[in-house]
Amino acid sequence: MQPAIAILDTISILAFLIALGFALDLPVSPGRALELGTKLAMVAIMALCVFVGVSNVLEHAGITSALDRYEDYSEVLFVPLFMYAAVSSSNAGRVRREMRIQQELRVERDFSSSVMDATPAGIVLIGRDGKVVFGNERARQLLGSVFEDAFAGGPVLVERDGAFPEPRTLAEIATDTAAVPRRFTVLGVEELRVLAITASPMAEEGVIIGMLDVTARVSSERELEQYRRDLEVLVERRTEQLVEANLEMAAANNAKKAFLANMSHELRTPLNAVIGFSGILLTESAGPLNAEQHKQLGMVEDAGHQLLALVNEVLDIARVESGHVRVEAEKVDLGHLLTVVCSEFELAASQGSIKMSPEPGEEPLWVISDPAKLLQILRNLLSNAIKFTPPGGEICIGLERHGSDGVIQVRDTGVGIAPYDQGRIFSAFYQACPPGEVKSQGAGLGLSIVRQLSELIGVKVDLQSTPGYGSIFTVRVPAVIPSSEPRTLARGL
Amino acid sequence: MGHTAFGGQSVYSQTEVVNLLLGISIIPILLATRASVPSQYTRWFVAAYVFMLVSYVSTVAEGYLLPDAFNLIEHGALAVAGCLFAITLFLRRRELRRILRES
Repeated sequence: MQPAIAILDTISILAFLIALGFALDLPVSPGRALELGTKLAMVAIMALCVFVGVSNVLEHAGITSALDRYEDYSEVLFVPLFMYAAVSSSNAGRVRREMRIQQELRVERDFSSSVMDATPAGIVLIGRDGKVVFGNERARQLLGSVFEDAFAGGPVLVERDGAFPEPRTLAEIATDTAAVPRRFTVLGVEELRVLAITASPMAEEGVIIGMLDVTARVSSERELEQYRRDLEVLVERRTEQLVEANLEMAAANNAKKAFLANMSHELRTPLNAVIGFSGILLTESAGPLNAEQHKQLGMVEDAGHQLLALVNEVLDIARVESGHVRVEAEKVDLGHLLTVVCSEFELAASQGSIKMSPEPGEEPLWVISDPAKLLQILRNLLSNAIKFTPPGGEICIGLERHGSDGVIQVRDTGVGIAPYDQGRIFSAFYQACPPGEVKSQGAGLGLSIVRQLSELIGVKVDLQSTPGYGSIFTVRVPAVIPSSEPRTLARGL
Repeated sequence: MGHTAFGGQSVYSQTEVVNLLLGISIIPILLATRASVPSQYTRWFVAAYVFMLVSYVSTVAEGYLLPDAFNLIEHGALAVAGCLFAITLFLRRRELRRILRES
């Protein structure tokens, strides 16, 4: 047993020596007496254990030493030392935990303080007793020289555009300012300073006041308001100028219309005389004519007719533009209308070697419209088709019913209209000229009259055309009347 | 002459008995310490102390029966207690250093 015990004693001495080393090396924070006490207790316990172990080894080795005398007394110290180590360690742990919590609180407070100071808004805490408890750095900057007065409860702010013009304290503002910001001017600072202030009540602490400097925004708003006023004045002035210009334009337009109407009228009267007398002369009732005279008089009569047609067109458009044209709506049979207009142009088409195919349909198609205007529209379209269809070509005039509309189509195999011209062809005095061809006779008013009359009586006119292949003009007359209705008025056309 | 806790004699001394009683009496304090300081260090500290206590008990017990066996247990428990104290203080030192470093 002796060797085993010797080995165990040696192990215990070595272990306690190592433990003693660790105990001596225990760190102690400055000012922590409890930690120092624990360390000393642990050092003492380990040293006593080493001492007792060495004493045992010497005793088992048969060496009686002076250490034996102190062994019993030293062992008595073990328990109190352990107790002290345990209790102080516990207290030290508790103190350390409290200090850690304090440290965390300090960190948190520093963080909150940094956030408060970094925020661009001024923040002031009003306590439940109405006193200012806290104000961050930004609040100090915003309130400037009156910050201390504000903290002391002095009236330093005046509401802008509000019901209370007298100066108010932060506590007063906190009681009646809601989350919606209100603007206040800071009193006692040199330059104008406007703050937008909100108040948010807290559950227990009181009210938090948030304040933002909106002085720059107020200045911008003032400038904007000034710009807006200037702009309004400018717009008003420009409107007056526009009204004046419009009046002048209207006067000029009326003068133009009056001139055109008068001139056309003045031209038509002598023209009728020219045409009439040349016709009488051609009948040779006033004496015989030789061949040359007959030919020249024929040319005079043709030119007279052309000039009369032109004057009539100018008169028509002048009348439409003047707004003096009355719409006289009545029941109209579109098929009959088609037959009438085709018969009018039959001779002209045959003279130009153009085949004309009317397709009025088998059933009458009744609509309510102005027959005279419709007839003029169809005349102009057909006249145009004959004018631009070369000899040997064909013109087809069809009538169909599309839903509740009566649709008349004038299709020709003429020169067609270029896409560029299709948008302008309905403008007054505009004449499309196919490449390589000279402009046709006329003033370019036919289709303009068509457009104006169609708008007047509520008819829609569309154009489809392919240059070199011909054109299709579609006249869409709305509101077809059931065929059971009797045909009456337009028969006489 | 009195007998020490570490010297295995057949007759007990008053010191040994007093040590044993005191040692047992502070067990509740140690357990409370362990509960209030939830650390790895206290667990090892209590374990080491329990082995010290085993050594005390063995010292007293060897005076009445199985003197050699209890003597061996006494020295063995002391050796284990030494090792556990070494571990305890190593852990304690490491923990304190970490706390100091973090703070």
